[in-house]
Amino acid sequence: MKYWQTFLLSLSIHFQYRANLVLWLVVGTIQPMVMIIMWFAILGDRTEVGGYARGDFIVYFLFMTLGWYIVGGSFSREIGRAIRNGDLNKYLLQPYHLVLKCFFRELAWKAVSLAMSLPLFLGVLYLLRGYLSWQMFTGPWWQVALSLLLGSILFALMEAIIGSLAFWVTEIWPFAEMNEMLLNFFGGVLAPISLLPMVVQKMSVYTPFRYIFYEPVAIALGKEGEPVKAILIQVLYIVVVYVVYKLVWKQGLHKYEGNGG
Amino acid sequence: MKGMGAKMWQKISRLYHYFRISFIMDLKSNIAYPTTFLFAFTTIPLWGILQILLIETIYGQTSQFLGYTKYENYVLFGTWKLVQSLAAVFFFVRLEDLPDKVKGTSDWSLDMMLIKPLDSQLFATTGKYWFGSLSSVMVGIGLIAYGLMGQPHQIGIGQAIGYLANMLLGVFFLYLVFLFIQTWLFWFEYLEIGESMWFTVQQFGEFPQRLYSGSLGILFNILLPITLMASVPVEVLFGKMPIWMFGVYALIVLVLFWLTRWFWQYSIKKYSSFSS
Repeated sequence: MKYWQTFLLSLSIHFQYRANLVLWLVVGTIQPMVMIIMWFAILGDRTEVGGYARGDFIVYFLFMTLGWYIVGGSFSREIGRAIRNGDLNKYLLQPYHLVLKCFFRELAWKAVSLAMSLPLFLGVLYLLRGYLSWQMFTGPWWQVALSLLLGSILFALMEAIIGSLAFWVTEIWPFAEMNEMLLNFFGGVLAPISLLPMVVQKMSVYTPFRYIFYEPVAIALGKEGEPVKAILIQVLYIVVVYVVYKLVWKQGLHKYEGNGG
Repeated sequence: MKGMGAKMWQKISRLYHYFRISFIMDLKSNIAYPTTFLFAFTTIPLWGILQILLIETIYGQTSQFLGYTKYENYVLFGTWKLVQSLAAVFFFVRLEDLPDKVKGTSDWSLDMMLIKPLDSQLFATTGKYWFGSLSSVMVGIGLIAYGLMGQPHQIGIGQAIGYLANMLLGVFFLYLVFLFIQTWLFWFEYLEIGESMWFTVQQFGEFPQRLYSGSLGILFNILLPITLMASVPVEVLFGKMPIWMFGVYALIVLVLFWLTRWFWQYSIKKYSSFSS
């Protein structure tokens, strides 16, 4: 309930600064738009490349964008800032956890952005309906929903670990940037993993990044041969990353001197 | 007439002095507190790997992409990286910091900048250097060199000069884009998206001109020639575009410069200095 209030408060703040929301929507639309245009150019006269037809590319990149509002949402820098500035002091005295508070604030942004982007998303799907068909969405809905949920937990835990690094270093943005880069590299943000060079495809299986955005979209599009196995790996990664996060946070608090605040 | 010349000379010498002192101060600051610089120097160029991955992915599916071979695409992406990094080195810091200056939460508020005997636009938006992107400049040069070695081209001196001139025009164009985005701060004070918007818009400039046709082509190739970042210089370099096109693009950029400057001067009148 206490975090629900944080969520509602953040929601009202976001509605206060609507220009930001609209522009974030524009920014979020540019990358998939460029990627779709690029893959259309690569397709040329062909009907498909690597099992992806025009419609698959549209759905893939649009779902990746929409997936960011469900799964993604970066809050590591906020955690880092609170630790660096000493704002963490008050959280240690209050019945709030800094990480959860940052998570719920970000959740508000995601909810507003998702609500705003849905009409645009549906509009694009309607305009490009000639390339699309219902048969493209072959994944069982419960698997897709579960995979999205697990992906978002995994992403949030990784953000929490990156933010917690501020106990040791003053600048955490290089780690946040590295995380973003690896998500592009192994997480299917840049292109569907099955189209990337083989060496990257093989490496991606052994990284958690694949299981954040790519697997939920691949399950939805029926491109994942073993969806249940993918979901189980997501669970496994969550357990491992959660243990790492707990260790990092505990060690960090021991080191924390509480300057500022 | 003589007085005007002297005034102009005084202005130029003041600007030169300002840029030189700023450069030295930034250099000293980076040497004294090198952590941010070192982090940036090692992290930012890693994005270059992503570009290499994209090239390899594209050419894993096709042998020609919009008339570019794989090695030509390395030159294209390298040029894009170079232009982006140079724009970041020269224009990123001041423009990125502008929201805090307008809000009065930065070390210098905009009020202080407006009362200095320098052009407000130049002082508020240039004169700080982001050395962290220098490693990215090297990555760009590396990609270009790799592409040119992989597929040698006959390049004349005119083409090389045309390439450099268009590239610098691309850097200046990126400054204008960032300036235009950030000038909206005077209209929406809590706009916090300028930096992301600037980097995202740059993605349009990563690909050949031919990618954009119809109204998109008119927009990105003529009205807001973001393809100046890579495609235009590279096509001049490889002789796919006549050198005189530089004049056309210079004219377009000049018009855009005039428009963004007008927008800045018009918007700054709206600045209320409310929180400083």
